[in-house]
Amino acid sequence: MSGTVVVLLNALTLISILALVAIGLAVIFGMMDVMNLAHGEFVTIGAYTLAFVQTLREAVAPGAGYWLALVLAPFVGAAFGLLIEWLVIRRLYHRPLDTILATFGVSLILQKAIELTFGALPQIVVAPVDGMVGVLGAEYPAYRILIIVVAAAVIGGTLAVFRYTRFGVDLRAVIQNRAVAEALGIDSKRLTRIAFAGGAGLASLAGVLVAPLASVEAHLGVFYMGKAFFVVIIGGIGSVIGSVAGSALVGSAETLLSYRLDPSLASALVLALAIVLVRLRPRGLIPGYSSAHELLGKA
Amino acid sequence: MSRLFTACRLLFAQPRLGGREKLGVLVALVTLALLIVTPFAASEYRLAQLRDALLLALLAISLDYLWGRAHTLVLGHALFFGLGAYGMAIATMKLGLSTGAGIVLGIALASALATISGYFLLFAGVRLHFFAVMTMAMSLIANQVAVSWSSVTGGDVGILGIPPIEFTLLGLRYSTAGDLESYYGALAVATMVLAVMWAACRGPYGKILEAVGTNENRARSLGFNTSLHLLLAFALAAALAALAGALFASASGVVAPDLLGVIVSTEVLIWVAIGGRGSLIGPVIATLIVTQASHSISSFSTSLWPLILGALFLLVVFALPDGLASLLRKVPEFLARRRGSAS
Repeated sequence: MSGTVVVLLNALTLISILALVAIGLAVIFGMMDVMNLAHGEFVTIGAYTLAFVQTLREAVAPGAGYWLALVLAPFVGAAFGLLIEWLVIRRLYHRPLDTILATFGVSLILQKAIELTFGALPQIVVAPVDGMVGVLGAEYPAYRILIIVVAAAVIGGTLAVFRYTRFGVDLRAVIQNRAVAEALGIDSKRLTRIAFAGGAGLASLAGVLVAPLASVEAHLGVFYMGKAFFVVIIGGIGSVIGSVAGSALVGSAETLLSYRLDPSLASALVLALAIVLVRLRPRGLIPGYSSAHELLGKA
Repeated sequence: MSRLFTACRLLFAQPRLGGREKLGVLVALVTLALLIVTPFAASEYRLAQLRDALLLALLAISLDYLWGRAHTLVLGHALFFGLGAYGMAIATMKLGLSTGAGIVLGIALASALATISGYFLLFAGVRLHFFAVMTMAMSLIANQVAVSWSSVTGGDVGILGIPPIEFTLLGLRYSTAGDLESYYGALAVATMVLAVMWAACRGPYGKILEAVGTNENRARSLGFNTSLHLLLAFALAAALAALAGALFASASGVVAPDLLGVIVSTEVLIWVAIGGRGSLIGPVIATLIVTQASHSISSFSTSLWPLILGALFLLVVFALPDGLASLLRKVPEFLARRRGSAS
């Protein structure tokens, strides 16, 4: 019983991180057909924000610094997101393949810039809580419970924004049909900019959450971005619920397989699963109606 | 059989040499002549670098065939290069086979993976950035597998001591153990592959690929099985990349997980982008120049090169969408316009 609970919670940890990273990608892709290869760098930026705040030991205690970083990182990530959108991406909305190359270039530059600023060695970060808590008869690290709770709250909030606010309705309208949405008076460029910054902020938040569990290096984000891409492709483009569903599938498959197999073999199997799923369900588990589907010849 | 032959004759019919092609052929011949005389002027070290660059140029040709002709971007092309290299290493060092069998194993692994994954992705209608990103994911994971499956791949260290290629032809013994022999061997293979790919793609076959790449719906309605064409091109490009990888592994004597990873994929993208997509000779020359530049720059600062690489991507996208090859066309046009306005 307690073993099952631990497996379940491990899967939930991975799922919540993946979903936070994937939502931004999925929404931006749905809105503008832009696949942002620098998205992983927002995760890295979040993790380094935490590392930076915790180096200021004289000013804030590491525990308090964590909470400060948790609030601060989404804004730092969003600021970088706005900057990249403004400098690079908005000029390339009609050239999807070139966007890939340009964001790839941005990602290389950011990675190296982070490494040059902070040094190549992994940064030291500490979790605000340690020790174990009892969950349904199983002992589980308290920090991982914190990740799950924070991520679930933020994802729930994002879903609510999409579902119930005027802003969310506008976003969904742009995802469904940009031309018609614009004809109805929605400023799609402004919305895209906000969505881009928001997605970057969510990824940075994921970066803070994952930092105490991972090795905080300049390449940290690449790992999560690669997985987030499967999530988006499996889950459905332009759909927040799709991203969550895709994360649930990828995260649980990977966690379960890792118990039996080598982790890298497990991710290879998950990728194979993703490729086969794409053949069976080309629009994703829960499709968000997106112009991208026309672009791929399956309107 | 004769119908197949006729089909091939029609598909690969050679048109007359056009004006731009003449320029390309001239550039190719000058480059070839320069490369033939280089060994008399260059040091052994430089020569080995140039030999590696020539083998990497094969990889650039295979990506250019996919990206430049069929407009199918592959972000993880190093996957197939690395599979070729590991095929060679495993066949010679783990299975005790010959280098010839190593080349065959590498090509078989890469084209099998490309065919299977390409079947699922391309026939599902996955195109453009999706396809590019899926290939990137495949290469990332292959890299992880190569690191962790150490009983076969040698883990982080890789496999050392891969033998050079040796064979006897017409009573002449050939071995790539010598610097000069391996250099000329690489040059010969690169020239042959370039010539064959150029000849294959300049006629109707190249036009079909171009049609599939630029407007797939139209090509499909004209009766072409577009997914099948893309799948064939993908598998062929993978095989060519694997050939490059196998030769590279034998020439350098080592394979490591890096060969499958993001860095090689990134560099080959920039070679093709800078050289000019679809021109074949452009990417080859860009490979030679950029690899030499990267060696010189990395020798005084290792962190500078990735920054330059990133900047080059932005430069290509914003300033030179058709690469340096387009300068060859644009500069004479510009000069002609200047002259026209002056007179």
